[in-house]
Amino acid sequence: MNFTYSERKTFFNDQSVLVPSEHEISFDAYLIDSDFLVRPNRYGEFIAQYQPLDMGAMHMLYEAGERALSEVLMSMGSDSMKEPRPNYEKRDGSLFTSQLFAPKLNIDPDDTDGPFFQPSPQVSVRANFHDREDGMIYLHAQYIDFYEKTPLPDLGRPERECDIDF
Amino acid sequence: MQAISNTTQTKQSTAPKTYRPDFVFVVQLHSGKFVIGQANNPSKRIAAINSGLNPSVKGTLQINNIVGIKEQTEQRSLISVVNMFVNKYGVDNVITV
Repeated sequence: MNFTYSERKTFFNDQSVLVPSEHEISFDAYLIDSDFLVRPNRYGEFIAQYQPLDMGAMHMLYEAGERALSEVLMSMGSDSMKEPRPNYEKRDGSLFTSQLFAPKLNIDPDDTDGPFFQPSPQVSVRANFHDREDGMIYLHAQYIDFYEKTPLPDLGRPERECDIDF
Repeated sequence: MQAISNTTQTKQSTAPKTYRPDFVFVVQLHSGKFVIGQANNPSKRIAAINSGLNPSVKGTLQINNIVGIKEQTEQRSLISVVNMFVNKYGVDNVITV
């Protein structure tokens, strides 16, 4: 028997269990995709993709994610219909945040000379894990602080870095 | 009666190994050099390079920007990408890891 998502919710009392303040993390990363960071996509989602700065940040992130996942698993009752699974990692191993509210930025995203328009700017992210009623775990970015603009290396060519394609 | 050697014969596969990691990545260092590599988990690999765990890239936090992480296809492989960057920027500006 197939239920729609809203019907399923009425039969089973599955709820979100993760408390944002208990699953907060902050990490340094390269922002590699910010197309929907300031303005949402057509589903109203604010999405950004990150490459963790180093192995320390990467381990810390994945450990926190595992901790959130295990907490959701342990809180499930015998009649729970949840299927806990992480939804913050891409196939190439990079992380993404997706949420229905805009994260706070420390810069003006319309300033074309600012770090927002630099290729893969370095950022410090404050985020928390959040679980949906069906068990899917998301990473929500609260604050994204951009570091100062890093000067690009001179290639001795007239083209800009963002023109490089392969 | 069949010879024992016939029963113990094994067939050796002659097909070439076709293992190929899923992704090819390009990052640029502060020195201007491009680092090109292939991996199944390129994010972890880039983090390891930036942590100073790769002997080809000395020091930590050397990455200036991430040029791209793309899937390997028939047209886009490590060899073709390295070839493209060497032709464009010179062999001294490309490090393959």
